[in-house]
Amino acid sequence: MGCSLLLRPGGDAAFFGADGAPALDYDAAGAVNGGSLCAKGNMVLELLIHPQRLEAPAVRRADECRPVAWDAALDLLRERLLALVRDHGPESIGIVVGPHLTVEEARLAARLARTLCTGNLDACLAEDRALLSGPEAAGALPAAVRSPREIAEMTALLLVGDLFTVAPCMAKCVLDARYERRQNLLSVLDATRTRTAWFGRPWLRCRPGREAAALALLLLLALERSPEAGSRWRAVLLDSLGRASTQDLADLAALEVAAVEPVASALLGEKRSGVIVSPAFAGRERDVLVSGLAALLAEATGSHLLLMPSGPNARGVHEALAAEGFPAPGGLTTAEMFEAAATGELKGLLVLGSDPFAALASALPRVAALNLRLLAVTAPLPGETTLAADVVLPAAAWAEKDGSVQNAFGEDVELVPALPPPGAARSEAWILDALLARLGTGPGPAAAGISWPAPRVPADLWFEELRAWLRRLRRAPVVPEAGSHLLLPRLLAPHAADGWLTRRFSWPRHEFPHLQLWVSPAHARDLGVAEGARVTVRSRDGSARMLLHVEPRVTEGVVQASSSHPEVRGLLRWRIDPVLRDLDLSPVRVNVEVAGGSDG
Amino acid sequence: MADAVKRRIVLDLDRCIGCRACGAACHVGHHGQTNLVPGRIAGVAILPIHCRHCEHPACAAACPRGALYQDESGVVRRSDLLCIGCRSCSLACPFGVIPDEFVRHVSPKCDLCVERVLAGDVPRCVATCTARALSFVELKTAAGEPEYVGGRIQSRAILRRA
Repeated sequence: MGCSLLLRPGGDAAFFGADGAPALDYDAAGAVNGGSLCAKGNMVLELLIHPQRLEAPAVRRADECRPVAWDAALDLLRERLLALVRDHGPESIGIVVGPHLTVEEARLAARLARTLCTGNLDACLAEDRALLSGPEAAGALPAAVRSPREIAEMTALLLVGDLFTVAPCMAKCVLDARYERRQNLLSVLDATRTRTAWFGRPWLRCRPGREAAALALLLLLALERSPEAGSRWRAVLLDSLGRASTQDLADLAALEVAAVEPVASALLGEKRSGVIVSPAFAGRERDVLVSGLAALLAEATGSHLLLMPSGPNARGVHEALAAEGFPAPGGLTTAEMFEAAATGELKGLLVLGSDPFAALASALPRVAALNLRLLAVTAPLPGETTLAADVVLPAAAWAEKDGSVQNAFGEDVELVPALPPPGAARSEAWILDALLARLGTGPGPAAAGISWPAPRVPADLWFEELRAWLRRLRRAPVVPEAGSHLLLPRLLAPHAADGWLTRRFSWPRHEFPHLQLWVSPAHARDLGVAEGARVTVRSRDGSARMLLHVEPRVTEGVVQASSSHPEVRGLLRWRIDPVLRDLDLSPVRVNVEVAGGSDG
Repeated sequence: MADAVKRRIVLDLDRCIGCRACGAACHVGHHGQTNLVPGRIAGVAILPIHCRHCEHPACAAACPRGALYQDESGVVRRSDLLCIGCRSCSLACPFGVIPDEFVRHVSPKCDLCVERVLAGDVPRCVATCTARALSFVELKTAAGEPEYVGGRIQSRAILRRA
């Protein structure tokens, strides 16, 4: 996101249990957040002085991780990497980087991949990846939103997904646009009644998982009204829509054409209009189609586009890897790396600034871990991945390292370290530098200079996927599936407070101590239980125990649970998206059973 | 000092998105104790409810230990040392802004972040508000212009759709 905050010396050592802890203050000059911080931003200080911070490198010996010196850990890592290259070839090693790295660290990771001569380097960005790749995959070239001020001055806005949960600090400029200028249009496309949807006028409440159909309808209406729009891709798009009429698409999305028309007209007619897409739309199906169609819509209507990823430096890491040419032609994506590890083709995995075990939460990483001969992880706090790792390297957190990140508007923001990392923890830049120094020129003399062309998703593949998806929907609009209710993932209130990192913070633990399943009052009556009852949720792929929360906002036939909790992610269906070759989530039908007992 | 007592935290219902960043900021600034009550409106929205710092505080009158008191600047404060967590203040508060507390036995009570206010800053919840829904305004302004907090309430989407 690139939100800025101030850390001042002289904080409250008694609360945080650390001498010399800084105090958090709000940077009113912050370009993105304008001084305000979301719940997660307010917790940043706690990450820096968390009692569980990893402070020394550790190496697993006989099922136990023991602390070692940096030299010993890095020498061991070098030896084992070279042994894997020697025994199984460089393609047996994969590198996964996360959204917590700086741009410079992502580029160093690319240098490490070149030195090892492997093309298997990819980012683990979960939903952000599809969001950021969509426009390029569809070949769209919309104008970009460059600052929050631009949003505040827009007279027609379309929000796709729950922007106010992903990026609460954007709310002030969106609401300025809504309230300060009369006759403004703030439309929200979302299947569920999220905190963003409350403000939507109109709120386009499409069928869960059919956001892409709703956007295709908007796009078709815009193309009908503007014959010259989208001349580059107009023909191929209309062909991909398979001669679907606006009524067909409206039926698929469960929307009225008359309700959607004013939005298309406003986006076309208003001089300052914008489309903002966040990765938190309820359906969680074909994310890459949603962001691609939103980009095409923005281009066709002359609107400005803003893609709002949820990872801190998701955009910076995504673009740094693309610029370096990764994943290389023939190289594996994150999902494919775990698949290859599960089948034994990939032997070594280096994970930098990410917790793919928690982020993906499918059974795949766990199967993969059993077959891997080397799993090395850099992390500031212990997580699901570090538990399975052979080598754990303690990493510096945000305010402890320098470098640059790309904020939500694509600007480079320089990080200013506020305090040194705890113990022997080091930044990923230092770790990668030290490892590269040990590897020298790498196993192959020609390896260091290899450069691959930037990876590009062929646009026809995206259009082909759109055509296949629509054809499948039109043939069988309702997928017969066992299970009584549709499980729709949702982001929790304090901005992903149950993410792999933020789950450790005291405020989310205090405010949201249990994993909750949101059900409608009628559903709770049917089950014969009240608020706080323990229930078991079963899908085809797994089960999870949660506490019941009766929520009037939840519609009949639907249950909701936090999308970022690993247990909930384990319930969802995972498939490898053919366009991005990355994991894609789909909503599933679940059965809810009363498990007995109550927490009061 | 005089400026601090004349200002109060006011919530613009039309702008609050229920992100609860105010609660997190309060938690960080008050030793892990959140002094803000997340209030539910019509069962569909969660909005922060702040202490009004009443002129004649019922909570202070109800406190058997004298832990709640109105300081010379008019801010109603609580002494951590004296509070025994008996919840008398929770029962007495006419606005329901003092939640029950069962763990630490110290009732959560908004202190208006006086140390920040006296330094010329605004309370933490106001500083962090992501939607600019919370403001720290002169008391007479809030009282003299009731339309400030109620002018757009008719347009509040959540109330219409509840």
